[in-house]
Amino acid sequence: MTDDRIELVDWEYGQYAEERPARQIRTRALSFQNIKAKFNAFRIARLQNKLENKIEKALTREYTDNNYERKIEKSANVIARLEEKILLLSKQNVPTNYVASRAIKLRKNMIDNLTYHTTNYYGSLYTIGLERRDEVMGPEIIAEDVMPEEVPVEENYVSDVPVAEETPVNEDVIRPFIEPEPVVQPAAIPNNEEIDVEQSNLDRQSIVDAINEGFSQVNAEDAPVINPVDVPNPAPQAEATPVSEAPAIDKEAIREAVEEAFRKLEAERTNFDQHVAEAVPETPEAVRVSRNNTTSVHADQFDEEGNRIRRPKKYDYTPMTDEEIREAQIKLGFDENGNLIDAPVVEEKPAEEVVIQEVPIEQAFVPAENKVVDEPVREVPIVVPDRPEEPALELEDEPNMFDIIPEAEEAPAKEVELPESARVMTIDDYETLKEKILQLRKQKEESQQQKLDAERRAQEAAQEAEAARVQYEESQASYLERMNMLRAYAESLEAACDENERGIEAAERESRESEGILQSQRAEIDRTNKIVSEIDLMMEGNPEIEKPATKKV
Amino acid sequence: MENQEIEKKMMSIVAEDGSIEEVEVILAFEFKDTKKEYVIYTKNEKDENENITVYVSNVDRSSGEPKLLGVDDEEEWNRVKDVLR
Repeated sequence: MTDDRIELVDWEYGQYAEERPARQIRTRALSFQNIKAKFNAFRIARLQNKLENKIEKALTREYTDNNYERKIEKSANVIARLEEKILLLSKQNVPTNYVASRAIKLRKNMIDNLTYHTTNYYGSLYTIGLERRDEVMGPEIIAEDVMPEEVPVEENYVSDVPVAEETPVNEDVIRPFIEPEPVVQPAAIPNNEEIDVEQSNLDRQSIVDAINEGFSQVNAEDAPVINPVDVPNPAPQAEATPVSEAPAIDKEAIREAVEEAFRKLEAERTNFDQHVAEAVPETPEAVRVSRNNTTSVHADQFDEEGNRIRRPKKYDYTPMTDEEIREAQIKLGFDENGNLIDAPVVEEKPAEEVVIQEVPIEQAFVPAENKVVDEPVREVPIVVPDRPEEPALELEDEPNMFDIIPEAEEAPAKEVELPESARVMTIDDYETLKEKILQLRKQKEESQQQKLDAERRAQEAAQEAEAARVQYEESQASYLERMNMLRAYAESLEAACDENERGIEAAERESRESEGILQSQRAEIDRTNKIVSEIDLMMEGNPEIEKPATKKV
Repeated sequence: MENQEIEKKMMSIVAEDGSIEEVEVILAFEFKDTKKEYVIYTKNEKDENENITVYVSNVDRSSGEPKLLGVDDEEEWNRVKDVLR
């Protein structure tokens, strides 16, 4: 099975209609196991490939809606099932509830991973946003927020978990700035190019909405003076009037405060850009995002007058090169094949021992008034148990392994002949071979025809046999019927004969009896006649006695 | 039960008389040149010498329903046996 003439395939086999019977081979147990092992190795390789794809997909997926938990759970289940299949095919011990417990663990890791990227990577930005909002809006506006989105992160918090492709910007330097574009490329801003950063837009949007609301109230009184302006993240402006109190608004003061805010914002952004340019001097392309990052949100840009610049709805995402992916994998603790390096073997535990994440992700987004997150929330993203190196799908070519016994024959294996192509061919050889082929083809056609004829004859004979069988059965039935009738008739005749015999016997008996009576009567008659004769003799000798009138019988 | 199902690759064969038989697939492959697919399966039948009978069918997926055909051509049959050596 080592030849490259074939390609192993693996289907999800269902029901297959058998149109013609399969051919059979008898194999010795060793050969059989050998064939099975090769196919097993192939299936494992396929499943591992599929597993890697699923893990890759799970790590790079963008969770932009509220169904992220369901999606994560689904991914975790799929991955756990694939892992179980691989373990089973590898003949490794698999706990009974492996999929369930493993899926819970994977789900926890994935949510931790997501939380980590949300808090650590952008934590400083959220913190800045909160500070500014406190200064600009006051506590009333903050309290009106429907969706608390600030993630409390320690200001100097630095995670010890390695994350690929983190933006190399010092958080301490970012913190004084307002513009929420920590990884913005300086050249990208004037060109209106998109900046692929990942951040929830909620805090900024709530501030923008609040300011717009204030401006709409101002414009209701003095429309031409001020147009509503989208402010991404207002600069500190202590003099700004709380926009939630419409009647007390000083329009001029608000206008001045906003303009001042934009001036400061622009100045700080310039500083920020300079800083970024210093911090990331060798960044010629658009910022690349870690494969483990999750959501992608655009940072707003503004022109000189503070109006938001509409950007085309497209992403300027530059995919990582293979080399970068490999480096990122190594950073994350995976080797080039995606296997975990030096990762502790995670021992499987029963489901009840699995501890669900203590802090749900929703709670991580509750504004916690600048509380400090003390414990790291991220774990190793996906823990794949170490498994022994799978044998490559290299099929052995041991002569002893060829144990196949041709069907219906136990003959020794034929000697291997050199293929025709290995010899030097002459034109005569070709002609001979051609003639032979033509002859064989003709022979094959003839034999096929003969086979068809024989089949037809066999079919006809079978039909005739069937007809004869039917006829035979009919004649048998008729014969049996008549036989039964005859048997019944004979029985009735026998009965009549018996009856007659009995009558004859009775008649003979009666006849014999009558004969006896007759003979006795005749004897009596003879005796009587004799007496009468004697009397007559006596009467003839005596004339005084008158003779009787009756005659002798 | 379920683990065994995962471990084994099973296939149902519907015979001409409508009976259905579950068999274990031990190998499936396709010749690169002819694109003909073959499936090797077993019913785990053993003879007195513990030899196991395996069955070889040509899988036809040209129509909607996949069908199992025999291997009629001797040359084709030799190729299949060659693969199994």
